[in-house]
Amino acid sequence: MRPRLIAALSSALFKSYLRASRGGRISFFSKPRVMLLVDAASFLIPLAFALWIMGMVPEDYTAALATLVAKAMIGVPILMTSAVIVAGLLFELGQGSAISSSEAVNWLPLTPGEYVVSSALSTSFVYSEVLAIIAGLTLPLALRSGLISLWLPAMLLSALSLMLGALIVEILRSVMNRVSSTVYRRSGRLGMVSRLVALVLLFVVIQLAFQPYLLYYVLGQLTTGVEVFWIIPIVWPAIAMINFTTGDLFRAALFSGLSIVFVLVVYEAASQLRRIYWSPVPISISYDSSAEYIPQASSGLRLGYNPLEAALALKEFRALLRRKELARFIAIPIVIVVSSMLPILLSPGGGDIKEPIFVVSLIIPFLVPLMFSMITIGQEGKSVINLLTLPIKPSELIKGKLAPAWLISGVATLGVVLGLEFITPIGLINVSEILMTAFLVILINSFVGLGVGARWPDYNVGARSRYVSLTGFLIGFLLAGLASLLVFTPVVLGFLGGVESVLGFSTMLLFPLSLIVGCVVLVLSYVFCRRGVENLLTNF
Amino acid sequence: MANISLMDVSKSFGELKAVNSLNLSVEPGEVMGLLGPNGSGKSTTMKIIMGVIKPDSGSVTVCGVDVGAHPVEARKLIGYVPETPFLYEYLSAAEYLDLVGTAYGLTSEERRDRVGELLQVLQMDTHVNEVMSGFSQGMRQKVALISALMHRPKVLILDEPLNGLDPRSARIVKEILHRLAGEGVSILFSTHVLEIADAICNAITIIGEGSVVAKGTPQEIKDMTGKSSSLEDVFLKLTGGEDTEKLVEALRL
Repeated sequence: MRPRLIAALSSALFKSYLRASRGGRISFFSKPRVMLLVDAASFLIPLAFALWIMGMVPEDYTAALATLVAKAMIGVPILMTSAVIVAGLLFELGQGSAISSSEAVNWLPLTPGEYVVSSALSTSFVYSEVLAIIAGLTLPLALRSGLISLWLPAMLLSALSLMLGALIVEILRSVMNRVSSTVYRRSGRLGMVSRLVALVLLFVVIQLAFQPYLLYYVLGQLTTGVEVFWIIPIVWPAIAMINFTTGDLFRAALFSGLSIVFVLVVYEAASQLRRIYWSPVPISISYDSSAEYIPQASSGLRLGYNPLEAALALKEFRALLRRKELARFIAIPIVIVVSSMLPILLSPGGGDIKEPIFVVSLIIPFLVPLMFSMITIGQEGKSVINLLTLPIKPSELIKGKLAPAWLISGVATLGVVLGLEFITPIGLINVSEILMTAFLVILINSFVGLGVGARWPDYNVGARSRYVSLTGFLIGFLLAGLASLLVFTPVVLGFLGGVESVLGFSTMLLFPLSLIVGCVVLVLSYVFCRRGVENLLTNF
Repeated sequence: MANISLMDVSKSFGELKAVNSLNLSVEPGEVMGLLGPNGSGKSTTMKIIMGVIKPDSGSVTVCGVDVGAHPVEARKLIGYVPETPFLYEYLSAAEYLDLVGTAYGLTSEERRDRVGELLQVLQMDTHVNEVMSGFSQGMRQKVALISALMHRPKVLILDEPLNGLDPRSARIVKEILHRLAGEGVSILFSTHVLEIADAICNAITIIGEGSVVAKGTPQEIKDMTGKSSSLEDVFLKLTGGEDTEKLVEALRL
């Protein structure tokens, strides 16, 4: 182990990561030393805020506060590990080799262990702000409730847990690359689909698992079921904290020691895996055993698409299915639907929420087409030049590029609305009106998204790639929000009822009004989209 | 004793036999051209020498160091330019070269002197503080070359090192290679431009499907067909690519 080399490599990985997530700019904030200052501010500002709040809390609440602080101190270490693993799954594992892969250094004289420590340190540093904020917020609470003796071990164990999470991400990084290439090589198309399904499920499960009410439930289970949970090493820091709170210092020291040993074991495992998978295995994915070239794009169901549009649409679908960094975009609509519906459906008194639940379902035609169409240009990365140098008309590019947005949003809307009609019926006429307006909004927002994506694309491929600039994202979100509001408002007002007495006209007119407004906005959004695409194709 | 020695090395990827019982040695001061068609196993062979890919069988030594057992020690002796330089694109050239120099154990004074002069010679000194994501292919190649040369290696493994370089830089690199060979550095060099191989190399090994097809000095290779031929003619004959004219004629252009 060479500390100087580890410091240099972790610093390089860290800077590389920060710049990649900020569009490749060398900014003041992409220096590790400046990040230390940011961490200090992340500690001091919440500290000041919590002190101010504490000044307003009456003395009577001290006992309740102490219970809350004890629970928080137990939860913070496990929260840190889980947060880093989740962030790792979402952001780290899809990184290109340009940011942090060992490919860039695997020919240098450094050991797998040195690489693993450097990479884990860099990851820990990226997420250290979270720990700094938690430390700042909890210190005044611990002081006020007389539990300062818990605060210090909790923060130390949390820092250890942060490193543990980062080391687990290193293991996942090695294993996922290996599994990916093995699955590809062994089973071609089937392997690719199963990997996509696995990734999407992973994202959905993780997102749902980190809903606040579920976390609270798990934490409750954890504090009451220590006897069962102690066999899981990842919760040893939390168990150490439980023993600190009960004053059992022997068991607290034991589990703290075990936590350190576990971190060392995970480090060793990560190093061994990195040693085995030091170099990516070259893979050649074969979809067909035949060596014959069979043109595909112009065959099959056209649905009003000319061969070029069909070829472009097919390319888009293939990108969504084959690129693992795009899997999260497929997971997002599922997460939106499940996480917005589940709490309402599971809440008591479900019989009274028919209308609100249908209104919540409108989030799909608002967000899903916007998201898929906004990223469709930027996700091309440097290969966008292929589109620009081919003889493609703007209308063809629009139809080809928007096919996945239309299909995915259309199917998702139809599925959710019909599913809800089955669970809590509101009548066929209402459902038809909602669906027709929703499809109109899907078209509008897809045009808005592509118009924005073509004007403000972000071709950087890397950690947290947005594929659309922040400006574009905000403009797209605002325009699509406004368009959705304009089109949906009449039909939703009619649907929720009570509008006749307020506005003085029949609800019968509201659906046609939505359609008329929708058609006008549709034309405007198409013009916006077409001009953006024309500009992209001629002024790259 | 050879600085690079491969004995009976084989490597398969699934059913594909990338390297097949390959024997190769490069003596001190020798510039060995490793030639072969696409997919013949050149890059895999180079990665095996670097210890980046583990062979299924056979042994590899670099300056007497067993690469399989001590890859890190072996890499300290080698300068490597990969076929596609994987650089940390969001670092500046200076930051990246600093990292590489630290890995090779160079002090900051050594890095400043050595990297500074290489940057200047390859006309990269004005770009040293730019983020590499904006670099052209040639600029990336120059950074990779500087990384390979900065620690005065005893062995150079260069996979298409002149890719993307402008004529002036290519000439400079060729001069550097000649100079280093004169100082006893062993150079294994792969290229598809046979004129370059002819001009630079004092030994050539042609491989096809992972095995050695021919080896010798450039003149010995040229004499293999029995009449005065160019290296390109001999290469095509040995690697089964001599019917190019017929293939083009068959195209309905």
